[in-house]
Amino acid sequence: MISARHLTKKYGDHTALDNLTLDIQPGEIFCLLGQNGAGKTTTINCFLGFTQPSSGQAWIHGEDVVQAPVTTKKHLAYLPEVVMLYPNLSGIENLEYFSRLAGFRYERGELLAFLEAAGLNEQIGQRRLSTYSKGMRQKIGIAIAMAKKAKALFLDEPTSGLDPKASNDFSTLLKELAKEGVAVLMATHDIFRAREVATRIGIMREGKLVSVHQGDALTANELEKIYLETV
Amino acid sequence: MKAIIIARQELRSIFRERRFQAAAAILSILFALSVFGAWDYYASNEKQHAEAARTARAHWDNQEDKNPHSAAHYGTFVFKPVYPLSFFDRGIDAFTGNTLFLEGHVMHEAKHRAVADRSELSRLGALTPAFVLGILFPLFIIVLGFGSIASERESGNLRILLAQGLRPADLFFGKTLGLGVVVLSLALPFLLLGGLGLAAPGAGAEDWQRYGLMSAGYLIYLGCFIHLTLIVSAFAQRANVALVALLGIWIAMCLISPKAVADFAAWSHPTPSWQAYQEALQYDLKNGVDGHDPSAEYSKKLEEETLKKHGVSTVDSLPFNWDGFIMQKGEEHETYVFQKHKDALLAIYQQQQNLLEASALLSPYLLVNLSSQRLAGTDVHTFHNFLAAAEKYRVALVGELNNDLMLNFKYGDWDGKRDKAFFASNKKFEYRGPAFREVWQISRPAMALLFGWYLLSGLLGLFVFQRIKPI
Repeated sequence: MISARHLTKKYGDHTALDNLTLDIQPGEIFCLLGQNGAGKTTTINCFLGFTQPSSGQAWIHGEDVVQAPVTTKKHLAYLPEVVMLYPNLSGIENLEYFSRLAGFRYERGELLAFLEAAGLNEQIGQRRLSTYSKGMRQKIGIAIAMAKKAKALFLDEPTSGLDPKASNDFSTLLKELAKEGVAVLMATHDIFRAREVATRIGIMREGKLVSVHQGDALTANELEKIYLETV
Repeated sequence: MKAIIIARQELRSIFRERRFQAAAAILSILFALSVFGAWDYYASNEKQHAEAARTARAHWDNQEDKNPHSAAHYGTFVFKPVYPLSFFDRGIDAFTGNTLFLEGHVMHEAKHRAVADRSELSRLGALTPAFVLGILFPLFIIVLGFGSIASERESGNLRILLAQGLRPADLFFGKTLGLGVVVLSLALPFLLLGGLGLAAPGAGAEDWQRYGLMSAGYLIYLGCFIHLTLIVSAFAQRANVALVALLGIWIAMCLISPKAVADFAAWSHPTPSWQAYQEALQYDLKNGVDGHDPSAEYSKKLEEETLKKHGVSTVDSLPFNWDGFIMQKGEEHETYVFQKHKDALLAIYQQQQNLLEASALLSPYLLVNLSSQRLAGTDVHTFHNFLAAAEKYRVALVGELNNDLMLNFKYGDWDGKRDKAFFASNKKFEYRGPAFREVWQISRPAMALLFGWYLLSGLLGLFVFQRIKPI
């Protein structure tokens, strides 16, 4: 579902992403760990077509992201680290707007169901986003991503700033999506969370994918040890 | 379709903003004031001019009995008509003067320039509907639109928008449409209000045609600014950078360019100084027929020729009054000389004007300004059209008087007089200004260029949006 071959991005002398080859199958959750600047966000940007790779290729659902920038986006949903959305619209209005742009026209009941699944009730959904906390905005972002019913999900540090309960709910949600056959690529700093949800965990350093581990083969402590040795 | 969804969101977002509510309120007040003030200006000016024109003619009709040539010296006044649309755009009216004194022997300059009676501050420009639409509306667009893309980029919304599979073209059209509807929501009521101002003085069908074209010109102009705002907003990494850049563009295009272009035109095609102009004029006048100075060299020559032609030896034996003949010959020479110098000056003005029009491409404000003034009848062209008509009338009137002296009075009979009935029968100044067709013809190039600006800025916008960077 999500594939990369020798994906490389250079900014002058600096190599932000170095020869990344990766395949994520439907139902798989792949977590990218690494320090800031290790190349996690650059990887996601390449898949989203926001960054043009210097060399190599990236595919979503078998389509090249550079050649088909609009059609590949039909198959993907994206949740950035910071979700601002439109402060003078309500949660429901934000969700409806982004869904319509993606080509989905939902009834109010369906919109509320997505909010419910993301962990927000109707009362909150009717409030303007300017009254929301960061975690609540993040949940609207999750609802927007879910409402797109995408086959590939890209998450850039989605749990940063969420409280432990919300973070845990999010993990549960992610696993459910994976069960339905969604391929997930998630960049994160949260080793514990990665260990819990990931099918596979990749550790990046200076643009390179240094090692890949099976999520259920390691304890959190072992993973942390490997991570610290790598970076 | 997506473009309409974006436009709706843009509208909803803008209408809910305090920034919009405040800006719209201020703009509405200013526009209402400008229409009211401009309307007042038009009404009083129109009344004054109509009255003054009637009074001037009454003075002529009721002047004391006198010799026809003395009446040519007595002279009369004519006034540039006040066009209904001058309330919308005063153009150069305040600077050109609107009153012309007509008499024998001399071609006068237009007098009574409104700026001469005003304080220095008013030179910055009057609060007219044209000022509000041409200068303040772009500012309004900038204030509402500078963050249109830049803020979305800063908030990260642009990333989500593009990840939703949005085409850049849809984003551009959606934003253009959204801002466009916001601008229309304010501009249309204003233009209707301006129409009411036009309906009141009983404007003719031609005035409505002119007003329709003017309104279209302003809307296209505002469209150019919507494009510019979106282009800069898409370029700028941050919204505040976009705001500063757009304010810079606004200052350059709306405030500096009119003055800079006029100064440049005056510098590259300088007009002679008043002294130089007068000296050259007086020199040519002296070296020709002087009706009042029969000893002048050219007059002598003319006298000899005329006597020979009619086979008589003295001027009192001519079949007509020599005084009237020589006065008219002098008049023709003076008119010729005045016209020659005036034409040379006008040629320089025309060169300046051509340069001005060529450089109007630099700024859509210059283009909308040009077409608006022309359609309102407050431009250079309409002014010169009036001067030419007035001069034609002067020549005809003085000719009528000299002819009367020549044919109906005896030579040397300077005591012979004409009465009120004769003066009342003299030609009247009936001037209605250039016809709509002519006005449209000279307004069309600027309008076409303005539309070209709109299309090109739109294409540039599309081009820039195709390369939009969400990060």
